[in-house]
Amino acid sequence: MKNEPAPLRRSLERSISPLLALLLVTAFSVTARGGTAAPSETVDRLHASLVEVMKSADSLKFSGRRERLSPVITGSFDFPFIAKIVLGRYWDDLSDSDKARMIETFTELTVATYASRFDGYSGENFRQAEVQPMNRGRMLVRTELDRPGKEPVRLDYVLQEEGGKWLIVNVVANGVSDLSLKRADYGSIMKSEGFESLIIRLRSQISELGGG
Amino acid sequence: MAASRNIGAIKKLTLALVVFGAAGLLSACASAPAVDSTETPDPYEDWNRKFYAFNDALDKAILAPVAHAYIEITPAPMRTGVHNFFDNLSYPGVFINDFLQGKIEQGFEDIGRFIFNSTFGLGGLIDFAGGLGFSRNEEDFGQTLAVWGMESGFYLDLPFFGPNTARDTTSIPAGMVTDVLFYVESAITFPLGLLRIVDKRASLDSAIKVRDKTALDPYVFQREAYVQKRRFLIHDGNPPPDDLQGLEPIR
Repeated sequence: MKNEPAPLRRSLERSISPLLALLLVTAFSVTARGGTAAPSETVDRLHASLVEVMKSADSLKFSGRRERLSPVITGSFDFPFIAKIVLGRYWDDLSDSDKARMIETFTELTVATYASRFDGYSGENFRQAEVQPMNRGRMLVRTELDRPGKEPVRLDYVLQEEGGKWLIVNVVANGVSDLSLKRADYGSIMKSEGFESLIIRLRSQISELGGG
Repeated sequence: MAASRNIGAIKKLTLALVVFGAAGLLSACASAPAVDSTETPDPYEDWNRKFYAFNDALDKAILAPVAHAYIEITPAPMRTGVHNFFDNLSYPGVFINDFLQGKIEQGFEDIGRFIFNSTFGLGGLIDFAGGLGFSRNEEDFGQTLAVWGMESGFYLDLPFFGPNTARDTTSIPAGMVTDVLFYVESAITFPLGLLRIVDKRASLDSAIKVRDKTALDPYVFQREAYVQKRRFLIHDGNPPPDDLQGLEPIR
């Protein structure tokens, strides 16, 4: 009777210890990352996919690049927030279904833009420079795109935490903020032509990017 | 002949002093209202759009085809040489504005850059100093006025010159009189001037392509890009990060 629990305990221990180890490792990595994955990881992951797509750009063609980039870009950017900022004061007047259309169209346009612009590889390399905190809990990830024989491009990413993930809300290339450019540009169309026209124009841009 | 040339140079130097003096006075008198950093005042938008259309038509008809032919027929290293050459000719404008902005160390580095590139760099064709780690800086009188505290004022899209602000138009005469070519009287001045325009257009080609591909309203797109680029240059590539303040919807 005395010895009976021993095998049970041993077998329990045997099955628990790998579980315990796993738990410990997970707990450790979570504390090391401060709860959620770091903002720099979001940017790194995006850059890694861009380089990967650039390297096999010719065999993938536009549609292949779009397919590869789509999940990464959708998971890296805070599109609902971006769409809202880009439409500025016009956002609140949109119906819920129009808001959803805007988010969807803008997401597609962003994916198509990346797929069309990163269409070849000639030794480009992304370098992360520094991460610094910003107002309202946002983080700035400064990076540089080195291009052999050309001046490097400064790419600064603004990220915010959303649902336990760090998501990109703005890309600033050599000081030019994509969000501000689009906000001014789209705002001009909203003012002169209205929302339907904006969607039609964005749709036609998406198909042009695919064709070119 | 030599004497008359000297007189010509003296006249031009006097003009240069007058330009800087006038610009200095202007900046002392001007007290432009503070401007929201995310919006550029554009009270002359109607005129600006007309000038934008004019510049765009001129570009499509003449400049773009010439620049594209130039890019097509000349090898890239040669174009780089041409670009370096013109950059070097205008470089006195950079170190003069370095000093005016109180960037003494950078000013001396830029003088060194100019001397090295003019001599070892074969008259500026080769960016010799860049190879030694003295990278090119971008300074002009509009930036100097900004450092002195002058606001940009309203936006201006000028015929032939393109995007500008009230403040930055001062860079046009100031840039002219701090350029070596301004003091050279020779038969090649005019063709060199033409080549400079072609070089300038060629160096802007990829930016113009991005604009034409992504802009819904190219006029507004160019205005925003210009204003932000200027902000970047005024802060020497380190503007205070745009924390989306003023972009957030007001609740």
